[in-house]
Amino acid sequence: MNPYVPLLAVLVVAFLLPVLLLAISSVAGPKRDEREKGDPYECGVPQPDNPHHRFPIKYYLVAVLFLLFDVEAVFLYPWAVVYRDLGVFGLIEMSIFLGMLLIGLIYIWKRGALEWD
Amino acid sequence: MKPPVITPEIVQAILPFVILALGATAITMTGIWKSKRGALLSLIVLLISAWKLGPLVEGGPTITWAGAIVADRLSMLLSAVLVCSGLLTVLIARPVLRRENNDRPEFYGLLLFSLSGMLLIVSTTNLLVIFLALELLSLPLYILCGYNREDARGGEAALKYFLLGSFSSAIFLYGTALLFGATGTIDLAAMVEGDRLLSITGALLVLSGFLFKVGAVPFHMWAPDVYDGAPTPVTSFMATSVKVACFGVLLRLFALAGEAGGPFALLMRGENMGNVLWWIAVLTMTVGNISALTQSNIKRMLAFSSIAHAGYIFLGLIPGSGSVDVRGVLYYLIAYVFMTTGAFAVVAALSSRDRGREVTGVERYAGLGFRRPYLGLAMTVFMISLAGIPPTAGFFGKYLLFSSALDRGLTPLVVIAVLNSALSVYYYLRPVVVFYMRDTDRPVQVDDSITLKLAVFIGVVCVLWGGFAPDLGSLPGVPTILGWVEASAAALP
Amino acid sequence: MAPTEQYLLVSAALFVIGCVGVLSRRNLLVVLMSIELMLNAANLTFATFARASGLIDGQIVVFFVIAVAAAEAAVGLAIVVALFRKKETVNLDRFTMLHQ
Repeated sequence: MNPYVPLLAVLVVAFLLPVLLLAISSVAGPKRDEREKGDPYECGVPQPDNPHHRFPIKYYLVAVLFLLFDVEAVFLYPWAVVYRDLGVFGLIEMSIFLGMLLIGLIYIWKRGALEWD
Repeated sequence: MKPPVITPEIVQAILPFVILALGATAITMTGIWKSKRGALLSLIVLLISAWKLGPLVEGGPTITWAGAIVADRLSMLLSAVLVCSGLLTVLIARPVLRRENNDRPEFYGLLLFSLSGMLLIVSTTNLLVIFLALELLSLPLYILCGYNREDARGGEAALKYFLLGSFSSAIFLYGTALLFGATGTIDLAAMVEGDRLLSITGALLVLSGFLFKVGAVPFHMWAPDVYDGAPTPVTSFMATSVKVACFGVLLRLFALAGEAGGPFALLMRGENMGNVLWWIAVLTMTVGNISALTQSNIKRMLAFSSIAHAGYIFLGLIPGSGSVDVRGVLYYLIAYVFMTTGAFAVVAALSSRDRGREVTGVERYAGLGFRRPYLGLAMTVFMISLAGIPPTAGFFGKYLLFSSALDRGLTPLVVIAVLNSALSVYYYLRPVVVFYMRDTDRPVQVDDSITLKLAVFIGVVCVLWGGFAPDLGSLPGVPTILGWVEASAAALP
Repeated sequence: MAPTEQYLLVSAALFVIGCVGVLSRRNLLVVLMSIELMLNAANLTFATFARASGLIDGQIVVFFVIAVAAAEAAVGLAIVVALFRKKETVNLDRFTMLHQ
């Protein structure tokens, strides 16, 4: 006999047992529908609000600005790796690039995009 | 690793682009204190750029730099046309923005950013630079479409243009990636045919990216809505400059492929692919013209007409038994810029806003021919030029394109194009009929600002100048558009 | 190390998913994400070919595309936010003024 047959038997029993228990409880058990049962927890504070809440639109502005300034940093990494090889030329190029970003930052700051209210 | 050497020649060649980009940045920054001098500043920047560009259009050797910049007479002529178009747009935009109380320097800054992208895209053969320039010219345009915040239609136009534009950019980029895989380079000039399937798929995707931008069938659906919803100066800019820039790239691309082979030669020479370009030309002009027939809104009519004109230009891009008709395409592009911008200038002078929504129905032109004889005459000139009736630049452009296509054995296509032109006469002449045959008691509101008049005047002069070009050419010392175009065409292989 | 073909298949699948997303989804933010997916599919293709052929060009392209994609997403989000302030919806089917 294959030595793995007992293992298979265990697997089958392990699968059938919870199915059987759930079936019995759903057939024989009492059913009461209450609002609390739909809540995520059976105890604790009652839920104040729907979790699918929309964010205030102001967050999107922050997200947009973050996205821009965060992703532009992608150019800094390869530059840092070959910094020694590029020397002054690379330094000047990177200064121009960062200078442009800085101009953009000054623009959004002065236009009031960074103020929360 | 050595950084590429920067020579004085290359500095001179990219100076017009750099001036525009720096000017755009500076003008945008004046938005901090809400300056009202955006139009003036942008005119100055454009004129400086044109001044630096002038000697380069006249001549000079082809300069290439690091496989990224190709400055030859073709790119310089296209740049000059684009700068002209930018100047006209500023002239049209200033009074429109003023009367809508919406004159902010950001408008002109974005316009110049977009223009600098266009200057870049016509002076390169490198697909990465083309992608960057394509985004640089598109992103400001998306914003400009929705520039008027009171106009909900403008916002929708911005959304539609953004979604379809970035969709087409993504398709273009994927095509570029496949071409890179097939050929091992992203420089169009160095591309040789690699893996056949990858090459054809990549070339097709890259091409469809551009078909989107120029509004060619079957990628034209966005054009009427976006052109209609955007503010009129922006529509004028989109309808002319974007087409010049993108057809400039296509011209270089097909001319290179015709000479050196590579993936795009497969599209042109293959037995069924020659037919695809053929079908694009036929469908684009026919769909554009037939849809324009039923439009009563003049902006929508001009939008469909610009689709039809893209179809005519495709005629010059099909090699047939010869090579790509660089001369015809260039001439037609120049003629198209002046007649379309002129027509939009008249539309801008006559349009007004009703609760944020722009009103541009053709009935507004009733009786204009008698009450405003010069304006009516100017619009008549633009319309007969768009229809291709002599003695205008539009006629001469069509003549060059069609006769060259006949020489290359594309007779059926030329027959279809001529039939299309005949059809287009009907809808182009309708505004003219309304000018002179109908009258109303309603007072006509016309914007009388000097810059609008100047834009219309420049348009009329250039359209007539282009139309009389063959005769003027015989006079000594008088430069002709055709002369510049032929010199630029000679720069290509 | 998986062979080149598998990477290419994944990127092609990503591109097609993005394409279908743009064409079929009605939520604007999902459409924006689908466009990003298409750009990143192109990036993966570039990186794969660059690695397979040993050419550095493809990897340079990826850097630029990442930066451009961020700029594009920023402009797109800004347009969506501006429209949302007017209409209080991000459903594409509600923006139909231009056909009238």
